[in-house]
Amino acid sequence: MKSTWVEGATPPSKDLVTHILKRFTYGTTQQLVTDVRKVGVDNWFETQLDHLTISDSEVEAFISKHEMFNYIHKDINFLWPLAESEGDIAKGQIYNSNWMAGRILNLYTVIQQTHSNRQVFEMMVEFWHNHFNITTIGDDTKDGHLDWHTNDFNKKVIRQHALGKFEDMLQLSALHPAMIVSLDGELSTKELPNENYGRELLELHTVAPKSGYTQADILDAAKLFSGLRVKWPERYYQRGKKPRLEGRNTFIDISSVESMIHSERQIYGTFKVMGWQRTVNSPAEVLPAIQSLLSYLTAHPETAKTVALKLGRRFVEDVPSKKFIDDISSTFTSSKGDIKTVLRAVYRHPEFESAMGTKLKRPGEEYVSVARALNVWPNFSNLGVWKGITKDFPFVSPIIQNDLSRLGQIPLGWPFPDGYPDVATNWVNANSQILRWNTYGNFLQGSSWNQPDLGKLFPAAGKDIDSFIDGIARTLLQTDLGSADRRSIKNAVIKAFESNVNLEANLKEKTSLIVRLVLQLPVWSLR
Amino acid sequence: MNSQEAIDLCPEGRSGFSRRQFLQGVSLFGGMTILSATGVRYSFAASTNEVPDVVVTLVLRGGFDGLSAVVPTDENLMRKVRSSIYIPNSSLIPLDRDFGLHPGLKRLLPLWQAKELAIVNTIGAPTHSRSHFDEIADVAYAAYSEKDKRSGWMARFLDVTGSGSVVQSVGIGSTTKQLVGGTVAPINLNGLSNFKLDGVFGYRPEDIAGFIDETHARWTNPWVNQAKSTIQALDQIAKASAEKSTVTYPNTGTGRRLKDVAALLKAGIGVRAVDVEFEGDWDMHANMGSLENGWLTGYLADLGGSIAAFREDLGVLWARVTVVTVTEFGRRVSANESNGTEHGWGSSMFVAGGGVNGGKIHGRFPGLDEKQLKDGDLVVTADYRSLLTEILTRRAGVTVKGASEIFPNFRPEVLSVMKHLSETPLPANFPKGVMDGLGNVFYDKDALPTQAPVVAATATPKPTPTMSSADMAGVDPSPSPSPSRVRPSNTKKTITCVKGGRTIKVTGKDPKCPTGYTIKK
Repeated sequence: MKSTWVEGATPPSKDLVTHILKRFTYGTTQQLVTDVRKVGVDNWFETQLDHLTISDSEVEAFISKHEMFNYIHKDINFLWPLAESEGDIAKGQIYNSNWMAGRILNLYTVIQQTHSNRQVFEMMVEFWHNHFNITTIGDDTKDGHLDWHTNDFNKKVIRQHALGKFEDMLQLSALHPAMIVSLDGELSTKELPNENYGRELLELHTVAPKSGYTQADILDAAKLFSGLRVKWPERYYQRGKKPRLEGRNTFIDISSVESMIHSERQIYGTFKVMGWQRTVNSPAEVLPAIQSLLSYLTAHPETAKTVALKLGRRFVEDVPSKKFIDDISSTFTSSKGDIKTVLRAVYRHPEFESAMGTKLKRPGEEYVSVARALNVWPNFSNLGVWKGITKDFPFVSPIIQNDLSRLGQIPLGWPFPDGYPDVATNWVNANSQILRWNTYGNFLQGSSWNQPDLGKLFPAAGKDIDSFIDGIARTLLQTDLGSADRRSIKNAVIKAFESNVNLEANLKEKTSLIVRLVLQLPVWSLR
Repeated sequence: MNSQEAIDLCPEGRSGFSRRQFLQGVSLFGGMTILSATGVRYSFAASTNEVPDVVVTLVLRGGFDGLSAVVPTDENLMRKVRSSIYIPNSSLIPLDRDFGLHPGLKRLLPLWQAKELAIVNTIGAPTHSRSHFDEIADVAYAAYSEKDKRSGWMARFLDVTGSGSVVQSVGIGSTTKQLVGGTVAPINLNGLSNFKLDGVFGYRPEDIAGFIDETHARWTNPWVNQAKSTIQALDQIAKASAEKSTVTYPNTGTGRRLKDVAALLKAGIGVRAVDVEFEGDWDMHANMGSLENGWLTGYLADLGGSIAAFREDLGVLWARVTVVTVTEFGRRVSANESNGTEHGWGSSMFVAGGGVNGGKIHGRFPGLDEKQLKDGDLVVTADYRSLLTEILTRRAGVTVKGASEIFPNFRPEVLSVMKHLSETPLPANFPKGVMDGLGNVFYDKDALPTQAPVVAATATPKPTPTMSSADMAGVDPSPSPSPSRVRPSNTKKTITCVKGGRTIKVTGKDPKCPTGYTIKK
């Protein structure tokens, strides 16, 4: 998204460190810029790629204080007995089903995006979850069966491999119960293989339609996956949640995930997908064939281009150049889909540097960037309580999720398999703007989040109104305020406080208004 | 002084007459050249003017199954192809000899009887990819070469003939791509009453709006350009928000959305095009429910009930509204084993409004025999752009040339689903405020597509790069219904059936009244 502005407006910063931090974090602060300059930005980036070496004690302490986060990454084998022990569908199940667990994961994700020091990792978690998108907002159309697996998918497939190898994610995602339920693998039969996964595997996860695959490719992929099933816990059947599959003695368990091959529903024969071919004659040959197809697709040059395009959109600009896609896809291919190597290539690409201020923050990013700038934490003072039989459960306040859902970007909540769109045209609309603009006021007041400590963030001591406005703008924008914008903000203070610009009177209110108006400038919404 | 001079003489900020006030005032005058918020010039010829229709698209995302909504009455064949999800004729609402309406849509029956509702069968996109993401995007662009996929068709429609109002195009829901990319940014709403700014301390909402206006005027980019329109739209939407309705809509997202659309139209603020997303996903791969209740029946009841309530709410304004349903594709003819259907191709479109050749099923249904299908899908025998062209040219003041800009590289076929504006005079009691808001459009019947004999060349969609010749070979453009549906026309009889105060006509070789109706001698 290209911008122009006139003299007196506040343009985006031209500083490379600031640019890097705007693109590879959920929002930069003056403090972060200073810290990164100290260690050197290249060193900072390398450390970010080795995310487990980064201490994250502050956010971990916050998470561990709240019991609800104990449940977010548990799978059905943990959650279902817990629900059963509650013995009451209205209490135990609601708390433990994805209806609640998914929402706790949304909140967990927002907190990590806001306060984790592992910012590049968190960005890649969001990136890959959207690439293999499965919504964490429970899905009625799957009869609630999806609810039990999505959080586990986020942990074992996405968070585990977000800075690892693309192929590991692809392999695990294909076999994970959440993907099987989400893309209707459970419904596949020998006679009518469900095409949903086969299609999205080619269209979204790997080669994309530009590669020219045909319906025959989709159908053969669907046939190969026709026997893949979720291995539901026995007690799940006992509660009548799901009808048993007939012939259940003919399963072959897949050890790494809670899935299996149902030998009677599996189609056998010779399958051809995009130049890959394999003959499968027995249940034991299915899994090796699936793994072979996914390896083949990982190595396919069109998959490299799909990933390069998406990384370009995420970190560079809405329409990445052909050169960028060629360069990054060739790194993807030569590194065999090593995500760290590919990210380094993005970071060093000349088009990354020249793309300063060209990306519009999506609403979720906008929201988190305000929280980061104001250094606020979720406000749990009004947690509800579910009266369980064996114990009470704190019930997550839905306010933050509601904010983000109104803005249209609750994290990991996109309902379709293609993930949240990542170009400005999808987010430029009137309603979204009104909501964003009102969001600034909500943060300053403090409700979903605690009230920001404005006095500490924006000290006024020894400042007159002009230097105070300039200081706030520099802290928030990491650049100097344009003269016309400064005049507009000062005029607003004059109007709102009846010409009393003395900072000794109504300092908190004045700070609040100035912060609100700085966030209201066009430059704030760019990253 | 014409309006261009007005703008030259009164540039923003130099006098008390701001451009914003000017734009609010200008739509009150017809028969003049005005400049829209972004400087596009519209010609309104006062001598051949008409009050145009507001075009409302209702997007059924996920792939709408025409065969479940408008059901062929060849029971044996339907039972054969649809197995578990087949609907017996005794449950259908009879429409004509070949089709019946799903009972979930029963609230549409009064519109059908009043000839305010038409159905177009086996209509759809020229491409047959079965991909949600490609097809819903392409239907929004309604353009099939990469260079033309820069804007949605409703955006181009308003570039050709907008009202000049900042709220001329409104989107409700997430599929507003149809409206994006034109010279005037659309307004996207999620509830009229939510569309307002909050103030802060002594700084009121209108002060915040003024600040945004002032600081954003220093920039240009798509976000900032939208912001300028958004600020202007705040006052307009507030007017609509004040409109009251006594009509009961279904208590659903879609019901609330159409209620908001009615308020927008009643407010007379110059809304010319609305893109509403049906709230819910029609992608029924599994568990679509039973005839009595469930996913499909519930959604159809919502669809029919919401349109019926919308019509009632609009009253006399209905004379200048066209509502059309849009989807990305129909669904596979045969059911799957999960009580659902897979992605397909041809579907049905519903068109309702004051200028519809209604009470009639349009389109050339090709039949359901295996050889008449394409990879198991109903073929598309009419391109949806032909219908949209007809709506725009016959109802919304678009000329042939304008239509060719809106739908590039496309030769429309005349379907005669729509009446000409000139055939439906504006009711005498049509509110003046709304009429002024809509403005007048140039309207000349001679400048529009004329009735041409239907020949194969125009009946099939034009091949595009994404459609192979093999795809085209599967399309049989001539009406070739299955043998059981071919009857000599001279053996047809029409009877009149009554139930309570309701009268319907049933035509056929041996017509029978539906359950509950008695024959009227």
